[in-house]
Parts: sequence; C-alpha cells; structure tokens
Amino acid sequence: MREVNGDRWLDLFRIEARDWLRANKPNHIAPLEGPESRHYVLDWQRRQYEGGWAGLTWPREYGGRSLSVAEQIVWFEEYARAGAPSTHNASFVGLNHAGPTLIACGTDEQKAFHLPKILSGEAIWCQGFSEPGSGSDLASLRTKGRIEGDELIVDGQKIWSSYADIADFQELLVRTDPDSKRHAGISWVICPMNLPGITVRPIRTMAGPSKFCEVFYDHVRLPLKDAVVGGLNNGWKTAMATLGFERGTASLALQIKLIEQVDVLARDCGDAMLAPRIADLRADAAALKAMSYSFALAAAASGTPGPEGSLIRLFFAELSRRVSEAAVDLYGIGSSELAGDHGWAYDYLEAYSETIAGGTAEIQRNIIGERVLGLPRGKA
Amino acid sequence: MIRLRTIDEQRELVESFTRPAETLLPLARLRDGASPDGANWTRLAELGWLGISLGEGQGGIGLGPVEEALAAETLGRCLISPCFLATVIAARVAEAQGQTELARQLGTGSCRAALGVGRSSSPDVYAADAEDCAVVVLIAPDSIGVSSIEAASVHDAVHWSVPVHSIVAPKVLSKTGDDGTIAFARLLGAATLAGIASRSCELGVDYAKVREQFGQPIGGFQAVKHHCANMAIAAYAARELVNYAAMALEDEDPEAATLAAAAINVAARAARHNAALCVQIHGGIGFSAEADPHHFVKRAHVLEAAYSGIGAIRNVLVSQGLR
Repeated sequence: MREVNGDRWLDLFRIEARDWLRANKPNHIAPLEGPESRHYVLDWQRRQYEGGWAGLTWPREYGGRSLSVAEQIVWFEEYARAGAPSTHNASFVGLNHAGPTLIACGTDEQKAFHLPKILSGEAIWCQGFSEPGSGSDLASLRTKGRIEGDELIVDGQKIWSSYADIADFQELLVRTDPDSKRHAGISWVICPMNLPGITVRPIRTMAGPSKFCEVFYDHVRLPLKDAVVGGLNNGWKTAMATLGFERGTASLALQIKLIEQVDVLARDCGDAMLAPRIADLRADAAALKAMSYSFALAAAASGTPGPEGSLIRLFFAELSRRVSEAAVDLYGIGSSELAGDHGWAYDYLEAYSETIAGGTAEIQRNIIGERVLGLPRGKA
Repeated sequence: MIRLRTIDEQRELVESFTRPAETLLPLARLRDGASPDGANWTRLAELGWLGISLGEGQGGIGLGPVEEALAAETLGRCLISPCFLATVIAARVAEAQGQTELARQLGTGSCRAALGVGRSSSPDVYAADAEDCAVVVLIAPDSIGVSSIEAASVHDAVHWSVPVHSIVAPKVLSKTGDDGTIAFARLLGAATLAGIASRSCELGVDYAKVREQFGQPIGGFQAVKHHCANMAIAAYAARELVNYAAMALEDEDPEAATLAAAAINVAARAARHNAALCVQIHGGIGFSAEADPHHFVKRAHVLEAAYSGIGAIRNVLVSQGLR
C-alpha cells in the first residue's frame, strides 16, 4: 500500500483547515503565565474541539476523529503556516502525554472521566517526573507513595513541572515500593492538583517568565483506585509508553513549526553574511521533515515508535537552538520582531532547555550509542 | 506536500539487483590507487546499474528516481567509481535532449563518462578517474553539459584515492538547463554521499566495538560513543532526506528542486563529518593507507567538487521555493 490517502481528500482537508484557522485562530498573543494563560489555553482548545480539530488521531469513542497521520500532518502544517498559538502550551501534556497514556493503559472509568475533558479544553495536565536529585537519571526518583487502606499518601518533591500552577491534574511518578531500586517499584498515578498538602512554586528561568514549577507534596491523600494507571509498581513501563509517544508524533507540531520558521529566516536573510548558515539550517529543516514524516508514518503503521525516535529528538533539539540563535543574529538584539510566539529573544533563551529537558543531549547520545548502535556500557 | 508513503517495495526491488555490490566492489580494490572499476565496467552495465531510470528504448530498466537513489546509495557505500554518477547523469542529459544513441551507449557500458571536478586553466578541466572515458560531465549550478574528451593526462594520482586527470574537452555533445534534470543530478550525488555517510558510520561503530584500550572497547568511552551517535544521526538525516526528495521528484512535486538541493547539502556535510570521525575513531590505523576510512574522506571531497562545492547549493537554498 503506497498511498495512505487519496490526494484529493487531503487537498480538501487542507483547504478546510486553512479556512477554519483563518477565521478562528486567536489574534492576540498568548499570555506567558498566570490565570490569564489558563483561560487562553482552555478557550483555544475548546474552540478547536468544537470546530472538530482536536484529537484528529484519537479514537472516536474518546471524542477524537480516528483520522490518519497524514491528516494530522496537514493540520499541523496549516496550523504552523497560520501562525496559530504554540502547541507547546499548557494543553501539551494532556494531549500528548497523559491522554495517550490513558488510552494505552487506563481503566474504562479513567478514560471516560479524563479523555473528553482533555480534548474539549476542560482540564489542564502537568507532568511530575523530574526531581531535584533525579534529572536525566529519572529512575532514581524518591518521591514516596505509601499505601494506607484504599488511599495513597504522597510525600516528596518534583521539579520542572510545566504549568503545575494552572493545572487540574498531574501525571505523577512515585515510588510505591519502598524496598525497590530504580525502575521496579514506581507507579504512574493521577494526582488532582487541588488536594490539601500540595504546594506549587513557579521557577524563574534564564528566559524570564516561565511555565516551569516546583511541586511539594506533604501527606497528599489520593484515592488508590482512581489514581493508579497501568498497575501498581508498573509505572516505569507506563511512563515508557508516554515517552514512546513523545518520540513518536507528539513533537510533530513543534517540528513542523520550526521548519516553517526556518523558511521565514531564509526569506528575510537576503544577501547577509548569514546566508550560508541559514542555507544549512533550511537544508537541515528539510531533513527533519523527511525524518519525522517517515517516522510518524512507520510508527502509526506498526503501533510502536522505533528506536530512530531518539535520533530525531536530538536532531530537533539541536536544530531548535541553532535556528533561534541564527534568528537573534539576523534580527539583532534590539529588534522587536515578534516571530513565533513571544519574539526571538525569548525563543532563543527558552531553547537552551531543549538540549536539557527530558534527558540532556549527553544522555541522549549515550542512549543512541548503547540502544540503537549496540555499543557497550562503559566504565566512563 | 508529497504523498506520504513507504518505499519498502521499491527498496526490495533495488536490493534484488544491487546485491552483488559488496562482493563485486570490495573496499580492498581501492588500495592501489588505480581506476577502481574501469576493468569491471561491462559487468556493472550487465547488472543494469547504469540504466536504472533510463528508458527501455535506450537499453535501460525504466524505473524512477526513488529506485535510482536507493541504488546510488548502495553503490556509494561501496565507493563505486565516480564514473558511475557521471555516466548515469550523462545518459539522462542525452536522453532528455533526444540523443538516443549516446544515451544507449552510456547506459549499456560501451561509453563511460568521467566526472568533472573543477576547472584548471580554461578550457581544460579536471576529471576524476577519466582513463578510457570518452566523455566528461560538467555540472554547473544552472546547467549540465556532456563533452567529448580529446586528451587526458594524470594530474594527481596520490591524494584523492582515485586518479584525477587533466583533460581537454572542447566539444559539447549535449547540454541542458532543465530544472528537473539538475534536480535529478543533485539527488543522485546526494544519494551517493548518503551512502558514504552510512558506511563510514558503520565502519567507525564496528571498530569502536572491537578495539580495546584501557581494558575496554573504546566504544564504551563516552567521548567515542558520542562521536558514534553523531555519525548515526548525520547518516540517518541524509538517508531520509534523500528518500523524501526522491519521492518528491517521482511525484513531480513543486518542492522537488528545493528538496534535492537540501539533500545534497545535508548529505555532503554528513559524508565529510562521518568520514572524518571514522578516521578519528580508528586512531593510528585510521591514518594509515592500508585501512579503509581515508577513502571515504577523499571521495566525499571529490563528489562535492563535482557540484562546484556546496557553496553554489547554499545560494539555491536561500532563494528557491520560498513563499
């Protein structure tokens, strides 16, 4: 089977998407933090849902449209071209991590309660994975989940939890077996963010206002039955399902947006001394497109993203940094160009997190070396 | 947007007739520095390698750019003579200009083309591996010409792994400025360079697994492991972009010309990067002439030179196909 979809249908789908975005995309810039950012994101998500553009590849039974990755790509291309709000916003974790994880591992009750809320813009999710002592080495996490009757009592601390200050729920990794080491004994649980004992503290970053927060848990009581997803002490496997999505199609929208941004730089650079550098960026952006489209197609066909995902992810992270750096060089420190969402200065500084978040570029290279290329785990 | 599709069936088809490549083109044949495949040329033609996308009327197989690119990558991995790239491109130019007989001779192996790799004192040019070649292909940023070779002498038999000849080629037999043909030529160069990037990555990784120092395979050291990861990314990016550009050419998509330019830019950088790291990972033996890595470094430069370096391609990338 060489054709995923008839060309004609995709063309019509593209025109429909373009027209809808032109008429419906928000015209003012997304607020970076605070309650306004919550309203903005939920309003925009609800509008997409009502227009039939949310959860294109999600199953129909959970409010999606059961479409293929081809339509998803067309939508993201038009979305980027229209300059619609960044998808790396407060709905990202729900749509791309928690939602797909619940679809893969959740109970019927969990799916029925949470999935429609995520799609229709009723609930914001955040992620509680990293800890101060567990960054790239996530499996060393220490936040405790102690079982007491039909409750789970959580004590500990998470960090780098995006949008925790405005979120309704958190996908939280806790150590539920105190005698366990590393990957065993971790559970993936749903934590409502309004429970007593939760304290959220926003983090200022090198980019200024930021989505990142610290979260503290002091005897937070979760109902065991509703909370645990994918089985008690089986959280590592459940989390890996999420990471599989992250390396699959979750970043597609961000990748397509980056490709679109490089075209803008190429158009603006004229005969500047920067031209050769931007030419290379445009060629690399084309390579990113080729890799991620082919990977998304293969992942959709097989149901499990292949190991090449880790190569694409690192390539994308480093390209993001090079593109935003070239943009700052091109437009200058004093320029007020509002390309992207908040201007290139913000995007450039924010991009420093790309080669750190979700495992540093160095750890990613170890993973590629060991798991993709089969090199030995060394002493150093 | 090009039609999203897998090319697994096309890959299987191409593998069915490029399978003899590894045995017919062992890297060891490059060690004496002479023409690597001149003596074997008729055999390569019999296998169909010179006429993959050439029309059946010209003795070709009549397949498309996807199959042609996949084959070029496989043969590029084996460092097939640059005459392969030159001959396939020359046949394509001749075919497009209606010069059926020249196209047929090239596609069936009775006429071999050398790859022009830069101008000396005009009108003379340098060409790679030009001994016994009847014609030379000259790839300019906006045109491709095929000229007959009147005289050839060895200019440099030492530095580039294949001999570089100084040739006199005043008579243009065929020439085109057609965008599709130029894109095809870039795609083929990109595919060959992607093959170099892949093979040098594999040689480097394989060596890192077996070479031991300080009591462990050197691939266990992060510094070496990270070189390997970087090579894998570069090779993968080049390969996927070549396939994508080939699909765009197959679809006659408006993006095809830009993608072909992007492909040769990415593949040329990947080839140089990986070949250089392959030498580095091999350490002392990598610097010796008896090991294979240096051939990949040199071939990457020779192929890049045929396209006037990647500078010309960079101009295309900041001017073409922008909305």
